[in-house]
Amino acid sequence: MKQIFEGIYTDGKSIYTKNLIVGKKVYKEKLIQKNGNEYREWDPYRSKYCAGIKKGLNKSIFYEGCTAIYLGSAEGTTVSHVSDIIGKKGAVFCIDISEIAMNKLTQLAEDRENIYPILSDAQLTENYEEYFTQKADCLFQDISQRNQADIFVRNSKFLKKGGLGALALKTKSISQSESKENILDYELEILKKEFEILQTIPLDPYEKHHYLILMKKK
Amino acid sequence: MEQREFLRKQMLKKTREQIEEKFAGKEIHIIKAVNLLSDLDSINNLMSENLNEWKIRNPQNEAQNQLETLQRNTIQIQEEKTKLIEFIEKEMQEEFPNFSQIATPIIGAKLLSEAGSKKRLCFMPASTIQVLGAEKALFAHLRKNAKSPKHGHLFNHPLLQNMPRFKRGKAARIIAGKLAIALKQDYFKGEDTSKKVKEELEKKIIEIRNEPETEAQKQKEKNYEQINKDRRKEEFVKENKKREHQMESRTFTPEERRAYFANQKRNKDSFTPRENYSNKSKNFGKSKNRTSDSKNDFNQNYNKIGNDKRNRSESKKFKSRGFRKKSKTSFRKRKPRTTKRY
Repeated sequence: MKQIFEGIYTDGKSIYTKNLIVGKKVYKEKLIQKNGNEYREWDPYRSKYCAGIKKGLNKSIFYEGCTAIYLGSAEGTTVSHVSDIIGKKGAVFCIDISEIAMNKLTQLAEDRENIYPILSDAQLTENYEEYFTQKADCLFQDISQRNQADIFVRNSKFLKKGGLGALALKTKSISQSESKENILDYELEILKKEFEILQTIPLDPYEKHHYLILMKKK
Repeated sequence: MEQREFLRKQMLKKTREQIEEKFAGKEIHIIKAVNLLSDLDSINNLMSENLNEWKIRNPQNEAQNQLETLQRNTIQIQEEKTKLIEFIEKEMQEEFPNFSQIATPIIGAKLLSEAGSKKRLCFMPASTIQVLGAEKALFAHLRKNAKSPKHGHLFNHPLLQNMPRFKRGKAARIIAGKLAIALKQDYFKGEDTSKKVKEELEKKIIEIRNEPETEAQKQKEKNYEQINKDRRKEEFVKENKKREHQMESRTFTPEERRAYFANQKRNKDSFTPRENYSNKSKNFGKSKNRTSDSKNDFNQNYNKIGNDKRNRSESKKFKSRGFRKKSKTSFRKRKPRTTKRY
């Protein structure tokens, strides 16, 4: 096992994270035993962050012991891997609007002690302002809405200066007719108000019409 | 660290309460039932259509068994539908005693499912209740200069059924107003005054129906009829074209195909008669084993199409003999796009 980023490993083919709770699966992923440790396979077809790593991400935004904000957590497939990376000292705040998805996430949060679920609309930051007395280290967003970039900028007030952020951009939910390159240019202009853009990655074979954008707060 | 653990437990508790609150509402079962009802309607239509078509063909043995299972399933679905309707009526009577009396329970449930939850529906103004279910027409009206919709799901209301077109908007407005009041009564658990309100409403609507027509309204009605006539004509022409196209692109049984080609050949020969061949081909066209009348009709139909095809093939033949250039199958060049940012 070779380490790419902090807490993320490969064996040449697929990507793994160390399992926080030994012997438990979250979705139907593979478990592998090596050197006395247990690793969980990370599926790039189900997680946009993993697809970004496969396509050559420069920097990983998550590290051990950090506090992260995850907008659009859904049922918690990617969240479980993030909680593997940050370890028991870290914390990940998961925000989602859907009750049915949140119901599954609360079951996950019972086992994993670093997951903090919040049921709210990510556009209305006043709803969960009270939880963030300190500023977070990193911010991740995967929401398919028309004003994705705007939501990301609005939530950046919880992020510290120099903190890293990543946005999984779905271009089809912004415009059906426009080409994805044009949409990306337009969305980057919105993001440049608050962020310095480090890298943009098209997630082509894994997700169509998607980008992963890596940023640093000014 | 202990503070963090405390915070996490509080957050878990809060989200779980929120989820339970959302799931515990009785109206969610009504919404699910109404959505199922509309789905079952479409399923029932599809199955009964299949069943009737199959019945005509005189199925036997194994085919008969398959048909019987289909029949059993369709009957079961119809029974389920009646049970669902009873369930909706009962639940609506408990949750919305005033509202379900004035708007019949099924229409009320449809309005509820469109709004999403009890609270949202009860705090709606009358004007939005009036057009609930006509979202497409409403947004066309807001975006382009289309006419505004008069009614959404309220169109099926029994008081609106026999209303003339130009009075329907006025009546729908009055009914929606009464519905908005009834909803507020139900939400804050007021008295059951539905009988009194219902009588008043019926009186009012009969008054509207008996109002004499103004001349402007008469003129409108005439114009509308003229538009309808034009539309029907267009549809008729379209359908005819479609039918012809269907006949051309249909797959044939071998017998039919033989008859079709024979017809074509005969027509060709009649156009350019050759002395040696003419007698033979005429006999060839009339197939010997012609028994049923339907085949005759079929052949008559194909005479027309044969004529069309002959003309086309004739012109093609003419070109192919000369030095015609090969048709280019290159891609058509696109015009440069004037990019517009949404």
